[in-house]
Amino acid sequence: MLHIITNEEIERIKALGFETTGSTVPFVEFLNEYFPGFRIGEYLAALENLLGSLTQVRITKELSFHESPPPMLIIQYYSGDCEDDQTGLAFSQAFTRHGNEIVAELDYLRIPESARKKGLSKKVLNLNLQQYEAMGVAKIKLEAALSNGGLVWAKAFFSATEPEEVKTILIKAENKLTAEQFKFVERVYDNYYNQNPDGKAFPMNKWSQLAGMDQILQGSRWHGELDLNNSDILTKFKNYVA
Amino acid sequence: MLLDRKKFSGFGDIDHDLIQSSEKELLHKCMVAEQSISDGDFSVDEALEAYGLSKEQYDSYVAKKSKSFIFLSLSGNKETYATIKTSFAVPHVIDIYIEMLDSSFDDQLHFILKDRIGRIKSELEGISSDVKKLKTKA
Repeated sequence: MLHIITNEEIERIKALGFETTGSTVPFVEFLNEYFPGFRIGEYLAALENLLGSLTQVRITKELSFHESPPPMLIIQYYSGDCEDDQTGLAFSQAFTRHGNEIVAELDYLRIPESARKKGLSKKVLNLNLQQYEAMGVAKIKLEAALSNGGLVWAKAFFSATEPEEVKTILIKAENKLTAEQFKFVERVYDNYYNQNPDGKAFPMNKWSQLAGMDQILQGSRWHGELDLNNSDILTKFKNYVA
Repeated sequence: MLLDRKKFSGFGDIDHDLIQSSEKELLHKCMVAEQSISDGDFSVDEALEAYGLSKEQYDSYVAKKSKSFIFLSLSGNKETYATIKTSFAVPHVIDIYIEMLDSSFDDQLHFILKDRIGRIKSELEGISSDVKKLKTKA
């Protein structure tokens, strides 16, 4: 049954320290109108539980919502020293609604060094995934960046949406790989774009397992998307991040 | 005040959190190879070379993935038959199924199910032959 967000739930969120800003319409109405099913109270309490104790510095917790098309909800959670790569904490995610389709955009997660390598990123990702399913989110979008994400999101079945970025990675591979390695990389590229000249879903996972491509992708930046309406992809993704 | 949504990049240490066991890594490689074969990037042999897989590793993956699916309801089930023909229409894969039919039951079970197994084998051999002909024509 679809979760109906209540005023009591909003009060609990505020008690956790979240502030709402943006549209003049009541937040509860906004959520039920555009993002029904979002168990936002449960989600933010779990997020607080995971991230709240990672820093002693004051944390800003913000929910910004706007009705102007596309309706958007931005969730941010960050410490006063978020700029500091060693101690900073920052999380940002946005939901937008395009017609009947809800898109989740994972902007970033920065966690203090002392909390790294403890499985926290995966926990936050799985926490998000629970809500995506409850809300019927159609797509997750993100920017796969450098050593952190270029390879890992490719392996996690995200496809690349920007042909120019894929081309840039192809050129890099051509310059760095042997001819024997590159022929396979090029074949995957040619086969996809010959069939989909304006394709916006290049299957990066096929590149991720080719010899030499781990290094190439680790140093790359590309915009990716995961189609949650594709049950095959969703199952593979869930198995991968479980 | 909201932070710039482009202020940072990356998702924590997700690269560390998603390090896979060698078994999961092999499974992932096989999945990717299967997709590449299905999408026409590579032939089976090329995919094995491209992804550094042995034939045994790939065949074992296909067999594990398909075992329950193929034996449960192929014979006489038109919907499943159509799925096999479209989604699994790779002769190499179908040939693995046929081999599995002879090796996946003990003698007693084989005797009990021999009629049904026989029908399944005939259907699979028919599909395999059709697909091979289609691929030759193409």
